[in-house]
Formats: sequence, C-alpha cells, structure tokens
Amino acid sequence: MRTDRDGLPLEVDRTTSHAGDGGVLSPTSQEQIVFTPPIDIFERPDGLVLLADLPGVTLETLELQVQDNRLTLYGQVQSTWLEGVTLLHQEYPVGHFLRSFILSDEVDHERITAKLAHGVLEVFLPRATKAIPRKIEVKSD
Amino acid sequence: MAIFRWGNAWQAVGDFEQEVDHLLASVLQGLRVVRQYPAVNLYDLPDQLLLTAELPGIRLEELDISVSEGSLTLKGRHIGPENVPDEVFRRQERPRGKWQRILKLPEGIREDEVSAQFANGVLLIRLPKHPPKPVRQIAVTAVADGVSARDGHQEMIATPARRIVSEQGSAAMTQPPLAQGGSHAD
Repeated sequence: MRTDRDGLPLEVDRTTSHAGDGGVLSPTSQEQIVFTPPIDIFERPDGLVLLADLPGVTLETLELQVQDNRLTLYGQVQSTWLEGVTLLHQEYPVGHFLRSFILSDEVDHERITAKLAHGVLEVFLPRATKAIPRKIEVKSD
Repeated sequence: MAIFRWGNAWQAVGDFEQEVDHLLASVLQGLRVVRQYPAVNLYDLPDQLLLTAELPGIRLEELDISVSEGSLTLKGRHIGPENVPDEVFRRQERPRGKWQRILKLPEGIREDEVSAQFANGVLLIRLPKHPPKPVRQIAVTAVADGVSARDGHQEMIATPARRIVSEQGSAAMTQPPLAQGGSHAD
C-alpha cells in the first residue's frame, strides 16, 4: 500500500495540486482561472476528514468524484454577476477550484460522504474495515 | 528549486516532497510580500460600491464589521474544527487565527446604510452612494413674439423710454419759450 511519511492513506495528487505548474485541467471558459484550494486533513478513529476552502462554490456547482483510486473535487464559481460591473480594485482573482487525491485501500471508497457549508467542503473518508480472514477448512480424504 | 528532500525515490514520498517545496515556497513568498488579510475586491455599480472578501467557513459570531468616519473595519477569527487536537492534523493549509483590516472608504458613501451579507463563504458588503446633488433646472417658458414685446423685461426698457418721451415732452415744453423767444425776437 502506498502511504506517505505519516502513514496517511491519502496522497495529494501531483498533477492537479500545483496551481502554478500550469498542469491543471483547462477550464471551460477561457478566462476563468483554476486554483488549488487550501486543505486540512485530520484523523478520526474511524477515518479521515478532509476540509477544503471553496469560497463561492455551491452544491450545484460542485463536482466530487471518485474514479478508480482518485478523489477529485472541482468547484465552479459563478461570476456572471461581474459582467458589466466595473472592477475598481482587485486583490484576489476569482476562479474555479480543482484538486485531486489518491486514495489508498485503507479508505472505504464506497462509504465516502461529503457536505458543503459556508464555502467549506468536508469529506469524510472512512477507514476500511479490515477483511476478516476466512478460514478454509481442509478436509482429509 | 528543491528546498526539501527526503532522499528517497519512493513515489509517494516524491509527491510529498513536491508538496513541501510548494508549502515552503508559499511561506517564503508570504514573507516577501506582506499581504493584508482578507484580500478584498471592490466593484462599482451606478448606485453603490460592492466590497467582497473570501472568508470560507468563518462563523458569523466570529465576524465583526463596523463603519465609522470614513473607515470600514473588518475583524474576525478563523477557528479550526472543534474538539480536534493539533496532533491529529496531517495537513494544515487553511488559514487560522485572528485578523483585522481597516479600509478607508471613498467619498460619498452613505455610512448609515452600509450592509453586509455572507453566502457560500463570500462576504459581500454594500456601500450605497450618496445620490449626486440635484441640479436645479430652470424652466424656459415659450411665449408668443407679440406678447413678449409688451410683457416682462419690456417693462424695464419701457420706463426709460417713457422718460425719454417725457424729456422730449419737456423739450417740447421748452419749445414754446423758444418759440416765444422767437416770437420775442420778432
């Protein structure tokens, strides 16, 4: 099993975790930038909790998916209201959020749950219950 | 540039190294450029200015916004998840702690009508503008030409005109003596 130094059954995927690398997926709109959201990960006895800051993202514009062993979050920010509005001063650019993670076998992929509140996504990654070894009875002839 | 190396070719650790580089780089960047928190954007609408700031996960009871004498003060605190000791954190990138920012408002903002709303982690402050001082229009009344000759300002000119007439009259009055004189000369 691949784990990082902390024995964390979750890896931050290199292909999408560096906003500055330009390796991010090209967004649908040419002008929208895609950012890597900051995350927190902490352990609970029954699994891991991942928190991601996604300001401006709503349930309708959030996509969270697990494919094979990759967990991807993609949150879009609606900025249609900015059309025709004059920007006087800008300190932060508005854009979408994308980040992906590699899950190990220690995470039960089927029971992952998530909720979104006040621009923060909370994903619960339950620890997979260890498979109980099945005893195979060996009969003698 | 590699700042941190585990010296191990193991793939998982390789990823981790990159991540550490990235974090260190962002810390160094943060030291070089002192950035105010929270970052704000300001938009202009005909009747108001809109100030926005990204404050994901902030609790409303931890947010304090006040306006006084041309300045807007934003104060708050990002608290981490409750009852989670620091040692169980495996990664911590989200901002934590107290912050305060004072912004000078532009001229012409109706301070008593400033309002704020918080949705999806984005704070939006409405700064209504004072309506521009009303321009008093002076109505111009159109009147017929014939009337204007006798009406209004015509009165002003008419008075000295009458005086001229009366002078002429007095001149006419002096005529008789001249005439008399004339007759006298006769």
